[in-house]
Amino acid sequence: MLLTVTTLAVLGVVSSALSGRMGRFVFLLPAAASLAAAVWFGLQAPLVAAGQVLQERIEWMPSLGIAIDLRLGALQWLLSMVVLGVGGLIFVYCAWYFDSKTLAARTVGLLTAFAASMLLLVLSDDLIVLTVGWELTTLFSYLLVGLNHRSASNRRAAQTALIVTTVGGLTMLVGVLLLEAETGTYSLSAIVADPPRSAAAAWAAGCLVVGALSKSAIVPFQYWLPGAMAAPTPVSAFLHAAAMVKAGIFLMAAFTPAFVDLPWWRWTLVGLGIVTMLLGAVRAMRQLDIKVLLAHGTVSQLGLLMTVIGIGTHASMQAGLALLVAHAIFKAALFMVVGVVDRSTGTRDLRELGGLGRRLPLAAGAAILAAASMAGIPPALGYLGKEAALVAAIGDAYGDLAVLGWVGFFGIALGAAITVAYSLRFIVGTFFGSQSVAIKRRSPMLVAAPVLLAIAGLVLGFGGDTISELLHPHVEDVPAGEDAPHLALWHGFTPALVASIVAWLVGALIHLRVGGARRAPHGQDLFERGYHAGMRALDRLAVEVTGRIQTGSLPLHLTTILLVVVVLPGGALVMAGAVSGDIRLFDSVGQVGAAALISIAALLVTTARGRLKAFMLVSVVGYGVGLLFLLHGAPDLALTQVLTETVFLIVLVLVLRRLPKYFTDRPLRAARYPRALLAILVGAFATLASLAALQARTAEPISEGFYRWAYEFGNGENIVNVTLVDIRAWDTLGEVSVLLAAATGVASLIFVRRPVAGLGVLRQNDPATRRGNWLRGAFTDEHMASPVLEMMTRLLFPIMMLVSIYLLAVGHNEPGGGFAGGLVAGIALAVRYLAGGRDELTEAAPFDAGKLLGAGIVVAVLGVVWPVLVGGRIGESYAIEWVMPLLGEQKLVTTLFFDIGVWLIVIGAMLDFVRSLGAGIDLHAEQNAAPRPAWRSDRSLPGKEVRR
Amino acid sequence: MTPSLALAVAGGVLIAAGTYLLLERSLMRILAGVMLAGNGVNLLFLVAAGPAGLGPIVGTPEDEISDPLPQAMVLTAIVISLATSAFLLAMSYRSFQLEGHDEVADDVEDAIVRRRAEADLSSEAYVELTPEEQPDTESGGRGERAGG
Repeated sequence: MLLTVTTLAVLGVVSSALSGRMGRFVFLLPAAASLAAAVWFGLQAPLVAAGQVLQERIEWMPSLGIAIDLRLGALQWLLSMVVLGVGGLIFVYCAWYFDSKTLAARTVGLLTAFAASMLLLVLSDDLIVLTVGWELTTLFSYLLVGLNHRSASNRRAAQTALIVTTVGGLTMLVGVLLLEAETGTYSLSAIVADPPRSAAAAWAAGCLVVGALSKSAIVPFQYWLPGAMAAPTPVSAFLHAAAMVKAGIFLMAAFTPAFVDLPWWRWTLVGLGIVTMLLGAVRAMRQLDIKVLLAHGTVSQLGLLMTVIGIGTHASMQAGLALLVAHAIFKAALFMVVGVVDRSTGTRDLRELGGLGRRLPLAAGAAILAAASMAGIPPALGYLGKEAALVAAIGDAYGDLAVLGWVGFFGIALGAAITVAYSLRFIVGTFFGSQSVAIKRRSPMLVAAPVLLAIAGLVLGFGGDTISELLHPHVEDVPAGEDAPHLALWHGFTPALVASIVAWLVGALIHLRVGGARRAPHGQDLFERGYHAGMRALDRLAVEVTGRIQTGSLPLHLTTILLVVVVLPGGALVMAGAVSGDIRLFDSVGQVGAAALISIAALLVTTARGRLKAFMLVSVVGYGVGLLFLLHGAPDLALTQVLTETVFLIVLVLVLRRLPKYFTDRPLRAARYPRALLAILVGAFATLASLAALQARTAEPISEGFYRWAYEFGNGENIVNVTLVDIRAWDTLGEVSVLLAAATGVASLIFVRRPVAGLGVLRQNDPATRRGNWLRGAFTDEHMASPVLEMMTRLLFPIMMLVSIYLLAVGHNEPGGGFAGGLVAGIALAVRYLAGGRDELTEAAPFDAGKLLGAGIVVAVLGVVWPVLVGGRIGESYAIEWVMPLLGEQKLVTTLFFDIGVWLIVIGAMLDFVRSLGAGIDLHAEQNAAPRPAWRSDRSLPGKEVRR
Repeated sequence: MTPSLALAVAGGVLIAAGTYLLLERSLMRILAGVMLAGNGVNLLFLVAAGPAGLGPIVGTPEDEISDPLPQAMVLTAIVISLATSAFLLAMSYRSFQLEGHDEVADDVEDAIVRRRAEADLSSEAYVELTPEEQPDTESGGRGERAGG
């Protein structure tokens, strides 16, 4: 069983890939797989009939009690045969229905994947996996209905189908979870064997019913099914007639033994079933498109199935399941005949069709046989089922069941009469009368599948006994009614037979009176209008809410967010009186001094108008914070902070070259005070929250053990560095990824498109004309060159690179590490650029920064993952010790490789910053594409020749 | 544990100044705000780290070192702030290059939604079907076949 599901699932992927090469015949792959599996399932019939259960189980999430647990009982066997047998024939049919030229590659994949998920749905005993299969069928149905997504109406039909069935599916999931809460298991068989009797279980059953109604297109959800006819005809035959819409019936049949005694169960199913049956049948009488006529017929038949199953006795279960098979067979055959007619004549409109019987005799024969089964004419299987249903309705009609049984009986009989009428309308309208359309093309293979199915429907009509035997194991699980009589063509002269005969006569009469009408169908029914009105109201609500809340102004949005922060958590903080007097004023005098300095600088930033002034003050704050880090006992932080501040200053000055001197004054002056108030409140909240958080802390800090772990597991003495590269290595990996993304972002903002010629674009001067006293790439123009800087750079660069490598190497034991080392190397590169311009930077790093970033992330990832290769765990670290001559005992900790990755990424990012914001902007200036700041203004002129 | 007031207040002041600047429209001022607020948050991490101590290096007595975990978090935060700042800087430059200023304008899409709300219209994505356009055909139009 599992093999079948996986084979079909794999085929779903593979066949799509082969679709382009094999054309329409690609459908023969899933056809062969399905039919072969159908034979295997068919061979299990004796076991199933004997009441045995085949089970295959793979643990999936044992801690949650979820397993892939396939279980083949009688009911599952029946549905599997429908999916594989009918499905297999439909796949064969597809191979001649579709046209290789217009066949989308995804069609075959979606259809095959649907078959796999449908099989998973019916076979799964685990309700979670069942729900997964259920939702997968919904999804594939959506994709198949929307196969031609260029048409707005198709998209809308697909969306309706998706929304309606998903709402049902999610409700069902709630039911499943409720059931698990009541019983402690997700196993369908276990729940049915020992059904819970609590109120919560009744709610769960209600949720399951909603799911079933939506999936099987029962009122009030029935309108999605006719819309789904936008799918190609074989899809309609498979999903929307034979298989998927049966899922709801299947679910109800499976849970009937557990919940049939709930007081509302029978009346709900029977009541809604009858309404659906009559509504669908009446609407079928009005359709002009024969495919849509059949779709409404399907709705009606699903209502019939729900009614019969809903009666909930032995006999009704047997009749319902027989009808389910009958419907799958005749409706699939009828849809395929519609496909044949459509392909042959190019139309499905009853106003144009007629008299095709003589031109398409095989198709007509198949259609007549299938329609006879639908109308319940003996000796077809449909007759067998309908007769059994009528018998079952009143068979056990005593006590509580009396009224229900008779309501069901008359409902079924009335439905049967209209079914006869629309069957006649379909057959007579299409195949009899005068011929009006020409046959454009014929395809003998196309008729094979419907003919086979129609004959099967006829032959099975004589197999009443066998069918009864096969269904028996599930039928006897139903806890009500007497033993069901075997299905048979002749029961004697009973009320059921009378009802059948009356139904034939009345149906024929109805057809004679109104069956010839060819008026256009009018509009949507009540439920569909309700749905669309609801969707429109939802959309309007969304527009109104968005229009009001989302003003599009960034400051306003931020204000909203910050106000919420101040009012809700801030209010709670103050109300709770969370901050106590347990406060240390300061740790050291230096701390007070530094804190005062940065506070004043920060306040001055807010009033600064000059750009340079503001950012110099920001830098004062940055260095001040570095000092605070140092005073707090965080040498690594202080080192990194000072280095980043320096890098940022360099980068900032590079950009400020091209920007106006002043900030704009434009933002409303009047808004200044409210903004200041909000800002003060936010700042106060932050202070109070941090104080309260620390005062409220009772648990031991998680870092208590770091001191020991750092050395024992991390083999390093610098605890912060060990934390970065070992204990929290995943975190660091995420953060260097951000760095990588930001660096790439900066480069793309400046270069917009990657330079085609690589670094050559950046070349400033011809190498032949270079002076090359101190630096090979120095400025040719002596006015721009600074010999002192050139000389210093020549001396400093190697030293800075050595420092960088030193910091990287010692980082594990002393302050330093990949971040600090990379920043130093970045500053060294920036110095090269400042001294010599673009050429000098290219001399220093004659490669794209992206290569460095890429290499860095690869090294970092490998550095975390490689221990797996030697049997360790991800992120594990090892120490390798050896003795070197002169240097003595050496220890290499393997997390160094991870740190090297970090180091490379930081250098790559720095290179990107300097190259983009330095060299890139230089290039813009030369190309007349840089902004030109206006004199004493807060604006600049946009770049003239900007590539957008 | 007992928090240090000086750090907490300094952090609060930085965050307040940063927030004030964040509520601007000029990208450069927003950038300054982000940097100030970022530094402020880093200081609050120090508050959370508890009392000051010696550098967290093995060999220093264990009860005299400062808490290493917040430091590791702040260290990556510092580097990421640098990356974000550089990105904002480049964005601001690009804005000057294209428009001659770096002010964040109101969102155009939001304005469209607001106008639709005022006109009592549904969203642009919502398709209204006309009665004759029944969703009952296989491929929408007769000419275009299924599966295309």
